[in-house]
Amino acid sequence: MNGTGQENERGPLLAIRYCGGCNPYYDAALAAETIQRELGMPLPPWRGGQLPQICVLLKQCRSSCFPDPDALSTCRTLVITGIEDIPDAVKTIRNLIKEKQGYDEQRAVY
Amino acid sequence: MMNREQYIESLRKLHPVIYLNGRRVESVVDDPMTRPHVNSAAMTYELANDPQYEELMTTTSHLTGHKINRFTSIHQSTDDLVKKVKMLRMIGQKTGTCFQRCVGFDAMGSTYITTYKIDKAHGTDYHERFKKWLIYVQDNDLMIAGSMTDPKGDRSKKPGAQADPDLFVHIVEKREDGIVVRGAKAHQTGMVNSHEMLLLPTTNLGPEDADYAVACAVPVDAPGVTHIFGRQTNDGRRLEGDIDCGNSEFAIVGGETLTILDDVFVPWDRVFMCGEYEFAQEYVSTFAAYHRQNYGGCKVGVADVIIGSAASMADYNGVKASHVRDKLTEMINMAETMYNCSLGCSCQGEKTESGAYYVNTLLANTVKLNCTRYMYEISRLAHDIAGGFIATMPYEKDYRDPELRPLIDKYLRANPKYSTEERLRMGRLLENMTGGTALAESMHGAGSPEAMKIMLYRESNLDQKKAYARKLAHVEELHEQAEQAAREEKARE
Repeated sequence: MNGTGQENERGPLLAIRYCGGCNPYYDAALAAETIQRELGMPLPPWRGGQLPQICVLLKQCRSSCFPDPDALSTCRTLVITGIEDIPDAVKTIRNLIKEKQGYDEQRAVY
Repeated sequence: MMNREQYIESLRKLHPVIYLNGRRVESVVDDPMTRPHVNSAAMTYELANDPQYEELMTTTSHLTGHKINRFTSIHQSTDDLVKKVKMLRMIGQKTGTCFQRCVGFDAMGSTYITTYKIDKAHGTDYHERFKKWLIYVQDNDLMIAGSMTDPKGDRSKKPGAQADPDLFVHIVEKREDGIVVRGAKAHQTGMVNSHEMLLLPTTNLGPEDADYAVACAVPVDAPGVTHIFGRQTNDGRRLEGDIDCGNSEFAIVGGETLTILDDVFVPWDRVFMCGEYEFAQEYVSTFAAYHRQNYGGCKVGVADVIIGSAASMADYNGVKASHVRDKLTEMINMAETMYNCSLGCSCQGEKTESGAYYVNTLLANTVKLNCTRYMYEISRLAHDIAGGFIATMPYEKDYRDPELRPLIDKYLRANPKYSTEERLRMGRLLENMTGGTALAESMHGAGSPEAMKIMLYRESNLDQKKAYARKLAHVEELHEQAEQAAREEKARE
């Protein structure tokens, strides 16, 4: 976790980033499509500006091109290094979204 | 940044004078001979606008803070140098050929570094002029042809000593508003589908060659500029269909020209070197090192396709022998060795006085020297795996003939899991990627092997290596005694 999840609340809830794919070991486009389908919600690419709260980083090999993945989000970055990472990542994203929604509802009460 | 369509439309607005096979090319975008090269360069625009690739394809301008295409950037870190290599490999995998834009990229990088040095020595303002032009290039996302290589004439003579003074680009007139240049540049990759060319010297120069020390930016359709398009192996197949081309969308190599500059006027704000001959050698070697770095990126991307094609041919042929696996492994080893060299020279790069990052010259030269050998060897092994089929396949026209096609399908099918057309198409891809012009480009692009050897010898710190050996062989003392004796002998003389 990067911080408490309370910083920079105005950033997009969820965004995807791609490593660039110089020597890919899986199909990033297919992975992104699968995650979106499993989540049942769009996963927009991060195009600069404020960091997303949750970032899905599609890293297509084992190189540490992003030495600090947590710096890519204000709450949590999920690094996908293979298609097999997707089911767990989807579960985690769902839980994080629920947590964040709960937090937002609580904040609305106070 | 421009996207693919905007780039293609931007070319329509230019009107360069291009001759090809006895005729004038009216539109590089619409002409079937030049369109594949346009398509290949267009990938550098298309991928920059795709979120999947923007991490490699884009960066932030250190001059304006704007998001720009990496091909218009100046390296601000060793990470930028690494990303350049990765970007080139990735594009090479998608085009299977040269996408041309790296030459201008490297010309801009070397001009940035060299103009800073010239200004420091001479109090000129070339660096500021260049930065202004660079911002224009970045903001408009222009494709720049890097124009270094002159025709060179008699290789034993310097530019000023040539029988014909125009064999190297030179200044023929200095005016109040600019300069006039004459000469030609050969082997100009991507020239006809670039927006501008950045001219730089091609060799070291002495005081007698001061007029040849010139760097400047010229639009490809400036008055006085004529391009003669180079012929490539099998290029006529582009007019006959798509199978025999192998890679019909992107063709092979970069679409090179002989570009003639017949008294071309260049305003002062586009002149970045004018007579400072003592910087020519450094300018050339800076460009060359940047450009040699590339070959472990783009050529490895191309090698990835060749390896995939050879492996596919083995499948189509139904060959499962262990020697195929062994040969594929050899090919992979050579490709990844080139990649290693490129990553190495990038990681070991240095910050120059100008602020731009520059590759490790010694390691950059290993990239390209390996490439001159390995691309041939990779191609040889690919031919070995694919079989004689790739040398004797029928014409596409015969394959499309309704009477002949069933016969070709029947007799040229191998592994029943795959169609004959699959086998033919893959065979043609491999044939076109591994012969003729494509191989010669691996040999001579970014400099011929001897140029790399000169740099490797010069940069290798050989005296230190000898010192290591002397110490371990315990000959240091003997060596010193011998040197002392030599000094005494000389004194006696």
